[in-house]
Amino acid sequence: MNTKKILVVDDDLGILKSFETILKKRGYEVETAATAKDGIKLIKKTAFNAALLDIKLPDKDGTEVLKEIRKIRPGMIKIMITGFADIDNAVQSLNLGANAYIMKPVNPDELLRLLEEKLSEQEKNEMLTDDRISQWIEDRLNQLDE
Amino acid sequence: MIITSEKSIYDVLYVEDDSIAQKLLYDYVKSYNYPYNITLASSFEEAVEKIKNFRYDVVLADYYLGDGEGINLIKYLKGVPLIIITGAGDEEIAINSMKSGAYDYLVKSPQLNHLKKLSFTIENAVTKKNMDNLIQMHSQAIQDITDAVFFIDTRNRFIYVNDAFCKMYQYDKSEIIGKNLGTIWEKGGKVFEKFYDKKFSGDYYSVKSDGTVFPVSLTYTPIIQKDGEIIASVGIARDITEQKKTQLVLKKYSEHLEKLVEEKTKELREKERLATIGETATMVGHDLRNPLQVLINSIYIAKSSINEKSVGNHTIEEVATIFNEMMEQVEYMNKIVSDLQYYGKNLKPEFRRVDLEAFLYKIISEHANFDNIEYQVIIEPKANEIYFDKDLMQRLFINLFSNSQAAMKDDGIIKIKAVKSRKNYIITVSDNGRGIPEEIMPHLFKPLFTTKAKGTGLGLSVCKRIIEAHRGKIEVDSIEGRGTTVKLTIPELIEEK
Repeated sequence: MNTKKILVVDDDLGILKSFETILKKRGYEVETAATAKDGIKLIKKTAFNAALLDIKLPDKDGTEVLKEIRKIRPGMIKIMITGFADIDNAVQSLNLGANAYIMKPVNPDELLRLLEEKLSEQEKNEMLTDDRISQWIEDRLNQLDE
Repeated sequence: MIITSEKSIYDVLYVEDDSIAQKLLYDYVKSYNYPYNITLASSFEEAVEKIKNFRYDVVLADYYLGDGEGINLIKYLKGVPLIIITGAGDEEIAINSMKSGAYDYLVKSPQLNHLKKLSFTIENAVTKKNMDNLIQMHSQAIQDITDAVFFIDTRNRFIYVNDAFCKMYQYDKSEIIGKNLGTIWEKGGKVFEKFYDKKFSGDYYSVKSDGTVFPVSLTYTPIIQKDGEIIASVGIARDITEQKKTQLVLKKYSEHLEKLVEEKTKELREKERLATIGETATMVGHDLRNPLQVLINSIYIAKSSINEKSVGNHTIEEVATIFNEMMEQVEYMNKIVSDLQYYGKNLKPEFRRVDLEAFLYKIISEHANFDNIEYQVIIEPKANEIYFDKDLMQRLFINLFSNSQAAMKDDGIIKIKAVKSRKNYIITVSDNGRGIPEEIMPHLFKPLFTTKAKGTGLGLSVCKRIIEAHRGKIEVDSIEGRGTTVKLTIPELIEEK
């Protein structure tokens, strides 16, 4: 199984550094960005499996970022992390395609568990997609044979 | 009806069948230039005719007329004053005429003295008539007025009352006349004693014949003669029961309004204050959460790093203890943040069905990690299924437990009981800690009030807000040195939202 790629976007460097360490210790490949602009640039360049996104970024609102990256990589897992509980914001984020909405401070164990759960779902979905493609190819081949 | 004597020329009808007497009077009036417009009638019949066609100011009539007696004109006169002229020696006739309604009389004399008296007699008759009219009008007005009018003699006895008086006080005229003024006043009208010779007015309490007391607006005026002698007093009383009622209603209403304004102002101030706290809380909360996350992450990393090796002179266990301590601090910081945010936030509970026992045990296991404190949970089966906002109520119980824990040194017991009574759930949290000093009790729910070195003073305020958001209430009962019991009352929610 190839290494999963995770992107962390937060304007707090301490957060970036510590999450990076935790995720790397768990065996993930990690990149970080301190602004929405840099984050989006990285997402365009690299096919991340998941992104941890701070809702409040200096240059752009988290929900705006969500809208943009959903277009770029619809399959990427998007976990919103926020400093304050706001039901409206949570609902909005989930409607915009976020896979989870969690509040700081989050227990790293819980975060890792959540991440793993979402990644395995993603893997399953991808496998299903792969299966479907295989099926399709098989069908086409059968058709050609006939 | 002539009611003033201001009229400059009087229309006088002179009834006399003797042409010499007619001429004498006529000439006399002319020569003295009296302001009389004299019409002559030579017979009773002619006089009647003239009276029918014109209203004279005064009628002079000879008693003996060829076709009748002058006094009999009275029935055609409709109030016009009649002066009878008689011959000398007929004084008895004159007096009888007066009795029959004549205003005055003149006795013919050969020296024409009666003509000398003419002007004076006419003036008198007209004035008297005018006075009579005036009195009649006044009496009529007093009689018909809707205010109660009464006259009192100098010994404070009723001498006259009008119809309105009788109606208002429920007396017959004959019953009240002669009675003392005190009859119609509360406490016998003692208040008026010092006023009897003075004009005064005000609101007083009157008494009806059946004893009913009612408020009146009274004007009381002594009637004083020119020589300064008081001959009577007149009182005018108006029933102001309705007015008083309206005033009372208005007063109550305005008091209510004032109270309402006061309450609203207080509410508004409270809201403004809360808004400020809310803003501050949100800001502080957000700012604190990042370092908290970093701390948590660091602890996590450090913990996992030292899992295999010892660090410096410390044993692994010691390091772990330090980290636990750090974790406690982090949790403490987390609590401050949570309190601030729960306090600042507009609470909208999301009611969900909760298994109370499981809910409480989960909180106890996660947040009450003191070995020396024992938790006892006793829940009546009926009370176990409850509807409330899990997040908010968790915050509430964490705060209550942490208060209880802080109040106990060791061997503490925290008892949580839940029962259902009628439409309410009653949950009590009791501890056997040091209790709350009496002087602190009134301030318990004041935001930012704290006696703890490391408290925000928001814990119980938050609990109060949370329970009130659930339309319930929170009560604290404490005995210093014995312990504290917090009682939560949560109304049953009929519909699951």
